[in-house]
Order: sequence, then C-alpha cells, then structure tokens
Amino acid sequence: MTDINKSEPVKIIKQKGPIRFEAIIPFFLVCFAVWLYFVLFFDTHFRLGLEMGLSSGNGAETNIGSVRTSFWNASLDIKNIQLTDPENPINNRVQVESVRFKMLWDALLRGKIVIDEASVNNIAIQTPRKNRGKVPPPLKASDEPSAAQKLAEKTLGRAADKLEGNVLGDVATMIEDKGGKEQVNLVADQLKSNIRAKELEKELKEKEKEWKSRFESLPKPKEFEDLSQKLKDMKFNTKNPVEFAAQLKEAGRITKEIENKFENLKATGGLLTGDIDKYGDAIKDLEKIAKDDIDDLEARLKIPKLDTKNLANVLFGPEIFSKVNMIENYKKKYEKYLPPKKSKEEKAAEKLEAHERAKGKNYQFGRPMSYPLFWLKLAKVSSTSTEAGFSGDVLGEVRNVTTDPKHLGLPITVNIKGDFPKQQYTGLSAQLTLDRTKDQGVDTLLARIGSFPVGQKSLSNSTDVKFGFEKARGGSDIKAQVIGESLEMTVKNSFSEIGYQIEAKNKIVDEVLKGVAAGIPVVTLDASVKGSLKDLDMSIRSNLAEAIEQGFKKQIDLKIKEAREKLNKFVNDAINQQKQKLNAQFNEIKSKFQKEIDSKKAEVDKIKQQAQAKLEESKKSALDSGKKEGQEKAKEKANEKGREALKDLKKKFKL
Amino acid sequence: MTFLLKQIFSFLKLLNSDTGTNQIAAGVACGFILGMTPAFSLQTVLVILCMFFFRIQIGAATITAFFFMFPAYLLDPLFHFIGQKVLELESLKELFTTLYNLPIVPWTRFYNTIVMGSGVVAIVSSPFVFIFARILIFKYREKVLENIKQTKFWNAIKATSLYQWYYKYDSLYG
Repeated sequence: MTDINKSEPVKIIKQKGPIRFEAIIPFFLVCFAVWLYFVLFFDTHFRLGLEMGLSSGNGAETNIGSVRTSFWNASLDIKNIQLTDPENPINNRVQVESVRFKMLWDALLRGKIVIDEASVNNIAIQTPRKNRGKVPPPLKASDEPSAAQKLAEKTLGRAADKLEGNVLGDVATMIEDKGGKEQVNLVADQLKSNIRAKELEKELKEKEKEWKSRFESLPKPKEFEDLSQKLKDMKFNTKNPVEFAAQLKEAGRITKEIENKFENLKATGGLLTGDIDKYGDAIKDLEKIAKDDIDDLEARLKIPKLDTKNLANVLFGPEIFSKVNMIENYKKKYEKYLPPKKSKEEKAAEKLEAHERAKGKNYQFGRPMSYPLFWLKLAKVSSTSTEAGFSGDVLGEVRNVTTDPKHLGLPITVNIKGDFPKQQYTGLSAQLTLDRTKDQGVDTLLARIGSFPVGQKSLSNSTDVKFGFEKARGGSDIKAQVIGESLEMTVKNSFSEIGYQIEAKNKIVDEVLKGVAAGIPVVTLDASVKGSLKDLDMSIRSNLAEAIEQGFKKQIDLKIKEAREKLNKFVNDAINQQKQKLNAQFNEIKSKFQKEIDSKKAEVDKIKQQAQAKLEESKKSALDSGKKEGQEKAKEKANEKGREALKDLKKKFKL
Repeated sequence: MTFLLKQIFSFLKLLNSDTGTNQIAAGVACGFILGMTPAFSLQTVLVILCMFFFRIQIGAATITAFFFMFPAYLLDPLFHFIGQKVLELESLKELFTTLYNLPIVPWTRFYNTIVMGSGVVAIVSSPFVFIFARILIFKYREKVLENIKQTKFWNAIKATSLYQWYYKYDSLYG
C-alpha cells in the first residue's frame, strides 16, 4: 500500500486513458486460443463425447471414424459410425459410412437449431467388426411383463418363452396312445369329486341326526286327538246364556290351539323338506365337480385341442409376439424424445405467453412460422449394397423431426424403400408417421417386404415330431397404428417355395404331415392384434393350421374321444359307487321323513277340519236359540207398548 | 481465480489511494447491473466486455455484483411486476415482436419478465449508483481512511519490517 505520510519521493504514475489498451492483446490471445482449440481439439473431443453418448444409447461400444465441424457453414460431418451389436459383439448392429448435417445460421442466431438438410449414407447391418465391441453387463430386467408376454399368456395360457412349439408332439403322443397308458398314476382318492362325495356322506350322517331331533320336536298326533276329543265331548247349553258364553270361549281356545299346532307342524315340516332338498342339490353338484376333474385331467395328460385357431396360435404366435414386442420397445424409446402433451394453462398462454418459469415468465412474440427449438427439416438416407454385412440399395428420407410438432403443425415422417440383393430381400418399403400435432399422438406404420428368404424355421419341435420349414421364401405386409395406449396391428405373411422338414416317429403322423405339406404350396399367415397395450387381443389364421387340423381330424378325433371316454370312465368309476351309496342313503332318509311329515300333515288337517266343523255347529245352534228368544221378547215389548198407549188415550179422553 | 483475487487486491489498493475514483464508481455501477441480472445472457457478456475494454475497476465490479445478488433475489417479485408491465405495453408490442424475431437479440432474453424488470431497474439506476459510489468513496477517504492513519495501531504496523519490505516491493514492482 502507498504510504502518503512518508517523505520519500513519490513515484509518478502516468495518467491512463479510459480505454484499457493493455487488455486488447490478452483478449485477442484468448480468442486465438479458443479458435486454436476449436481447430485442433474440438472435433476430437466432440467425437469422444458422441461415442460415449451413442454407446450409452446403444448399450454397447460405438465407434466413430471422424468428426468434422465447420463454424462458418454451421455443418457437421461424421464418418464411419459403428454401433456394436450387444447380442453379438463381433458384429456391428448398424454401420453408417457418413452422416452430414447442415444447420441454418439464421436459426442459430435466434437460439434455435434448424437442420436444413441432413444425409445418412451407406447404412449396413450386421457387418463384421475389426475388434470385438465392448458390452456392459446387462441391467436387471423389469418384473413387469411386457405387452407381448401378456398377450402370449392370454392367448396360449403360458408365456411365450416357455412355448416349445410341441403341439404336434402332443398329437403324436395321443395317436400312439402313450399318454393313455401313463395316465399319470391317478389315485381315485385324489379326485376332487371323490373327496366331495366322502364329505357329503359324512355330512349326511350328521344331518340325519339333526333332522331326527327336529322331527321329534314336532307336535304328536296324540296331542291333536286329545284336543279333538275334548271338543267333541262339549255339550252346549243354549238356555243358560252365561254358561253358553263360557262354553263358546273354551271351544274357541281349543280350536286356536289346534290351529297353532298345525301351523307349527307345517312350518317345521317345510324347513325340513327344504333342507333335505338343498342337500339333494349338493349331491347333484358332484356331477359338475366330476366334469371339472375330467377337464383338469385332460390338461394334465396334454390332450391337444386340435382346432384351427389354437393350432395357428401355437405355430405362429411367437412370430407375432416378437413384432408386438418390437413396436412396444420402439414406442418406449421414441416417446422419451417426443414432447409431452401440453396442459390447458400452457395452451391458453400460447396466444401471448409461453410458460411459467422458476423465475419470472417468458413472453412469446412469435410469428406463426417461427422456428421451434429443434427442427430437422429433411434427412436423406441412402445406401448401396456391398459384399460385407447386411447392406442394400436403400433410399429414404426423414422429415420434420422437431421438439414442437404442434407449433410446426407437421408430423414426423419416415419413408424408406430398398432392396438387399445379397441377402435376397427385395421390395422393402416402410412408411412411418408419428403425428404429434394434436392432443393425442397417432403413430402409423406401413411396412412391406416383397420377398425374403426364410431359413430353418421350426413350427413344432418335440422328441416325437419335428415339423417346420427347411427353407422358404416369405412375403410380409404389416400395418400398425398406435393411438395413445391402444394398438391395432395386422400382419399378412405368406411363405412359398417351401422345403418342409418333417420327422415323425409315428407312421400315421408322418404320413399325415407329408400329405398336408404336399397339399399346401403357399402357407398364409394372417394375424391381427388389437386393444390396449396392457390388454391385447390376438387373432391368427393360417391355412397350414387348417390343413393340419383337417389332416389329423379323423385320427385324432377318434383318439381324443377315446381318451376322453377313458377319463370319463375313470372319474365316473371313482365316484359313481360313492355317489350311488350317497344317493341311496339320502333317498331312504328323505322318503322316511317326507312320508311321516305328509301323513302327519294329513291327519292333523282332518282333526283341524273336524274341530272347526264342531265349533261352527255349536255357534249356529246358539244363534238359532237366540233368535227364538228375541222374537218372544219383541212380541211382549209390543204388547207392553200397546197397553201403555191405551192407558195414555184413556187419560187424554178422561175416560 | 488468481485474476479475480488480484483484481480485488487492486481494488482495495485503489480505494485506499487518492486516484481511480471514477474507475471504482464505474466498477460499482457495472457490478450493480451484473448483480441485478438473474442469469447469464447477452447483456451480461456486453457488460463484461465493457469492463474489460474500458478502464473500469473489475475488482469493485466483482465485489459489488456479489453483494447485489442477494437483494436482487429478494427483489425478484418487484422485477417480475415491472417486467410484466413493460412487456405488456401495447405500444411496444410491435417493437418486441420485431426484436424477438431478429437474430442475436433473443439471446438477451428480454422477453423474460425478471430479465426485463431487473434490466430496466439496473440501467435506469446505474447513473445514480455511479454518482452515489463516487460520493461514498470521497467520504471514505476523507473520514475513515484519514482516521485510521492517525491510529497507534496503524503506526505500529508501519514500523514493522514486514511493512517496510512490502512498501519497498510495491514501489519497485507496483
């Protein structure tokens, strides 16, 4: 610090102007260093960064030959991109010879990225790598089953990865009658119907005791007879009104008692009959349980369901599940990069304002066609077939990839056409439209492969039967539409020039399959998948399944019938004896109680009627005698009145 | 960091000298603008370039920017209110629309209420801050610094060999 108190000579500092000239050289030095960095190192660092990012996205090592950026042209050239196939690291999943992007400076100066034109040249699939690509250890798979797994479980009743395609093996086993002998050492005691029959028998014994005690609590006929006799013995004295009234009261009481006892008998008897009938229904239910036993045994003994639908599902299901899986996986991937649906508030703000920020609010003074934050206007894809890997003559274009499709009002479109002559894939075309311009996204895929070779394709593989294609030529048309969470997909496949692989130990099976194969030069496979991604419905039709069904129908129907009869017999034999015994016991008990209840009811009814008749009779006779007395009283009263009137007249006329 | 420390030491030295009053005051005004601006934007770059090319005390600007950051944070609702009023002015709407669609200008983020509000407040207040800073510097040198120099403590420090050594070094190499 400068000491102003010291008397030493003060160093005279030259007055400096307002401009810091000494800073200009360092500034330009810094600018030069930055420029030097961009010229010498930026491309390398950018390449390494891209490699890291792509490796993470690809899930395996990704290599980039070179990256060249140009500040003045706002362009980017990337050469020789190799994405290792994580499942086969000695090959590249995709190899791209060159990628070029050219951005618009006009947009960059506005803080937006608009790629005016991009090109992707010479894409090759499954090309061999010089060195084995590095693959990170796999992540733990999600426990949540995929849409394809759910569909497989729903359609086939088991997961697709457990599907061994051995439906024809089951058919062969059936024809050879192997299963019949093995019949799984079934123990009759283990049948649910048998166990239930034994339970019912035990219950019946307990019920019998209960019913007996309830029956004994019912009023005895003797009680009714006594009451009836009491009523018969009653002599009504109509002359003495007081005595007559008391007798009538007593007769009414006895009749009421008889009626109460009768009602009690009726109600308890009804309950008992209802209980007995209910138990009878439980015995009838045994038949249903026996049917379930038969179905269960059919499943355990793998008695095949040889209908066209089931056959088509089992033979070609896995192929459709893989396509559903592919669509689901791609949907998950691209949804990450597509903008989320805007809220109502954001939509309202779009007129003038954009969205609320953590600090402040951004106003938008945009024109209708101003640039979105990112917009890839056009990317051209081209490829020429080479000798290495899976390469072909491909031409395609990707349009309007943007962060704000609503603002742009244009859907993302991908159109690709091409042939892969070396691999004999011809007539390939794909049109993908990802329309996010409205509230609900609509994604459509139309894909076609005119012709492609089909290698060895096993449709059914078991120790007894091997059935499939040795070679064939396939054609495929796929239409898929994803609206929100719902998927609608149709697949039309055809296989021609088929060389079948048929190996069956059983002669009949062998002959039938060879006959089926000779009769079908072109196998068709039409599938449709529809519904929410969480709950898809699938329908598969194939002429091969129809032909197999027809081919085996006669033999297998006979065998299935035989096997079912065997099972029916086994189950019925197991429970019939028990059932008959149960029925006999039940019928005996039922008839015994029912008979006694009915006879009791009839007897008591008779007594009740007699008692009521007696009561009515006594009432009538009492009424008759009452009437006679009344008439005499009225006559006397009239005479009395006459006498009184005469007396009044005499008084009036003073006689 | 070394550059910043050097600038801060230089600021303290300049503050305690008789010269550079305008440099320090301009630094305080620039620091005030920087501290008020909510985030890095084009105008921040412009202010930094000005500080770099004109003889403005960078240390003073850095310290002031640091100290004004905290009240600016508390004043955000006020900036938001002012910015909103300015951006919603119907008479300026056309100008803003033109600016918004011009190249480079959007990098200033003028369309944000807080950037606009704080910008308006900072630019309008900066001349007053400059004048106020000058007055404060004069007052500091006149009242505080002179009083410190008269204290026994300061005289004791001046008598130490370390101070003598530093004084010699400073007069030789500045």
